[in-house]
Amino acid sequence: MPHLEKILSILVFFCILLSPPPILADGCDEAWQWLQEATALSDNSPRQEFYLDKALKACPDLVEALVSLAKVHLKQGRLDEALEEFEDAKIRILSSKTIMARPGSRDLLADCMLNIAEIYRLEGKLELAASQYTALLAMFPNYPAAQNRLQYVYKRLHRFDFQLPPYYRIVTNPSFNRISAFPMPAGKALFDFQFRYWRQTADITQDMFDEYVPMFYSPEERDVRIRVWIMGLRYGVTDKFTVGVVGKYFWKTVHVDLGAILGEDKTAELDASGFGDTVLMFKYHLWGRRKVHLSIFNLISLPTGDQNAKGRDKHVWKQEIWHWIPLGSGSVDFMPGLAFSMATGPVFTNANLSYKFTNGKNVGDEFNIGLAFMYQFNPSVYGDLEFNYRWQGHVRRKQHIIVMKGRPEFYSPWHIPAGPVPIDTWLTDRGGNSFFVSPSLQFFVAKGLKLEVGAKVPLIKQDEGWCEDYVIHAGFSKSFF
Amino acid sequence: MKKGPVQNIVLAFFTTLAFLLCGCSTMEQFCQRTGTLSDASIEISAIHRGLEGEDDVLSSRQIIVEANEIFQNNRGGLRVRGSTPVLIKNCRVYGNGRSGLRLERHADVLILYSRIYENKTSGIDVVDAKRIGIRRSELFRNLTAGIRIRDEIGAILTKVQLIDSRMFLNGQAGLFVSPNPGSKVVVDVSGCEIFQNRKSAVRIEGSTILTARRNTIFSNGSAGLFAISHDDFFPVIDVFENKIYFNSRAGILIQGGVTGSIGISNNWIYNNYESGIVCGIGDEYHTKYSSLGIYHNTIVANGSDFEGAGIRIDNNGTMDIQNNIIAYNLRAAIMTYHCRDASHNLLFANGQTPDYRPSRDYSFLIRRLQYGGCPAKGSGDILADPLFLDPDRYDFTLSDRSPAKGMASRLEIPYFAGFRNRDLGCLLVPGVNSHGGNR
Repeated sequence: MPHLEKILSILVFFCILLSPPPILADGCDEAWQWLQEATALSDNSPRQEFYLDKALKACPDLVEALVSLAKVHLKQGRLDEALEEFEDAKIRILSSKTIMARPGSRDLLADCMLNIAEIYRLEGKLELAASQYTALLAMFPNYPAAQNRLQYVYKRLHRFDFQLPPYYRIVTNPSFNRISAFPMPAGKALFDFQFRYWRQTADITQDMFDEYVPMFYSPEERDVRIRVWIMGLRYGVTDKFTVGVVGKYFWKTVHVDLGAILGEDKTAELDASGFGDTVLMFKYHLWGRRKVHLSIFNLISLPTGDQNAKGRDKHVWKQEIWHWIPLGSGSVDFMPGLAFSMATGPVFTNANLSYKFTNGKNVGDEFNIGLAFMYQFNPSVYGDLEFNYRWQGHVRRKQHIIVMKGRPEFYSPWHIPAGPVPIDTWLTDRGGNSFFVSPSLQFFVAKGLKLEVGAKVPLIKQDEGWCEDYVIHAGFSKSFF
Repeated sequence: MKKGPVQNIVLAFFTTLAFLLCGCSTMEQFCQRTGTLSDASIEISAIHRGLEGEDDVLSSRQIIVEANEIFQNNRGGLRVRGSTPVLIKNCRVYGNGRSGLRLERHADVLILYSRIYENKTSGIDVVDAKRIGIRRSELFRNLTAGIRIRDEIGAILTKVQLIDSRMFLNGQAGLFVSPNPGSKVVVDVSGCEIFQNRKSAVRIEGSTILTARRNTIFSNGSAGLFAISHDDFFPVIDVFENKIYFNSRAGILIQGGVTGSIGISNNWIYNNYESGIVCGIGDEYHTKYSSLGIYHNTIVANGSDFEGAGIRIDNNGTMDIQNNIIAYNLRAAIMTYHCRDASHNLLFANGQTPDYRPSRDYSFLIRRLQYGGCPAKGSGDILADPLFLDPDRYDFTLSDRSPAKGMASRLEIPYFAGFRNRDLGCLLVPGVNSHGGNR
């Protein structure tokens, strides 16, 4: 039977190889039985306590039994004994490589530390409990029980009294589409101040005028530089209803190319400044979930700006040159719209849809779609990328134009000498489609104080009529909440 | 004297056979004839008084298995089939190769004072049974669920009643109910302790009707109570007067379900490691028809890491959240899908922010955080310290000066008519059972 011997010896070899190393002393086998009996009870009764005592007597190194006994004492309200036993167990686990090598010993250690903290909590020693939980989390960062209890203890200790939660972020308005769907909190206010500068050019051709205007020697382009200071105040009447007022101050400069008239490269600068129209804002939070909100709004433009403002230049001609530079529309205009906002992760999306109803004088009807994506680089810095589409209707404007009369007029009742002749008339700017991309940055520099800087870049401009070139934007806002 | 596994099977077989042959109709007859219990009538009548309105249950038992140890059988410990009423009393059923008890095909079984443990599948496997009562028994360290209830045939109404029992340290759920579509299981769990199971304490699926009252449910490896719909079949749950705490996921997790006439009411739900009550995370289809009533609960200090609101509703169903106290939860008090399902609740110190005071800086943020970012607060809500008696010792009864006193809205639910006070939060101290142990 040589094969049998071989097989047996191989079996013995494997048995030795695979058998678990002796971990506990002989008496500990009996202790494990007692521990199992106690676990089967799990009722924190004196009987369970008795079993655990027996286990510990049979095998004092059986730290599992010690922890179980401590738990029984904890449930029985014998806090001092329990604390002593948990501390003892903790030291035994930490000081023994044999115990640490056992499977589940780390859980046992975590359990000890958690229960030590728990006892401190039950005794009202919340600072000590917090330090225990913190120590436990330093060793086991993902231990949910410790996370759970620590946040409660911190709360009871008022540790959060001077901070906002780390995952909280302030939702901010986009730099150009300034209406988000989030309503203002009731009784709170937001003040903002902006400066914008842009240049606006448009052709001027004969067919734009209501009446015949000879254009042989007249400027063929309008060129205006606009600076505007905007001050806004918003206030939450209720948690759903926000009102606001926006005032504007304009400084507009019209550049008139006199080359065609004078025959030399000469430009007249006509400027006008003053308050523009005042806008009242009414916004109502129509629908909202936690991170998705929808509001309706209406902007009512009151004609507080001077629609007949004139720009003058006394330095080019012997006589004064002036030009209509309206600072307001002269009419009450309405701009109802929808605002949609959504916050997902670090990206905040804002969309606006609005239509502006006007009488077509000085300001035309407008249909706007704005889409803004705001990304939070860090708690203080937001990047904002906006896409703005605009359709503009026709606009009628008063126009003061100077044409060069080539020869004197002898046949009229009055003698009109040759030279520049001013004509007051109306022209119609044709509308069209424009599309802008507007990057900007926003910086939160102090509590409630935000600085912002950006630019609005036209990618598609309407063929005729007024349309902005690059718009430079800078501003700040201060929230009072 | 211990009986071996073979002896047990033989005994069970012959006792059944004896019943059928002798034509015994009552338990008393069986006791007299076998003589196994000289004082059975006294003891049984004592139990009889505790059965509250089911006087015929014990007297109708035709087979009694009493004071047996049924262990280490290769397959199940004891298998009961057919509608003959059976009483299993004072038995220890353990270490069997499959379930400890398998109760099937219209079985009508009452289990009293028994310990069922360390079986290789579930402690009790209920398949197509008719009526099962489990009282003052213990089911622990079974490899899968403590009790598993399912049906294979379908179209059988199974009624299961668990009273004053303990289910702990089982390898899966303490109680797992999964009926087939089309069949129905009615489960009543009262006064039980369900703890330290590897998964949920109670998991119900499909068309299960669950009433859970005055239970203590803690330290389970998943949610305390987990309800999930199957296809178009929704569990109906009434969970009231329970203590649900220290569970590794939510206290109550409902992924599709509706509440019955009482709803989720009068519970203390605290220190669970995710939210206190969650409905509808992850499965929009199963949750959009959910309808929950959540009333008069005290929900405290739930959540860990970055997860955990007092009540989190992420579905399109119908929710009614009233008269709860929700405090010290990690992220928020109430996070609802619609931002409009809650009213008359007291919210305090939820989220890692300062306590709410109207005059405080960023007070609106703190307030909004209570509602998980929703802008408006519910009507009748109070944002103030509830002044629990001793929250550090997990005592969430209200002190006399509590602002929650007398502030509840009136609910037109018959269950609440029995409570005189109109306080917010839980109207009683729930979930103490007769077995002692963890309170």
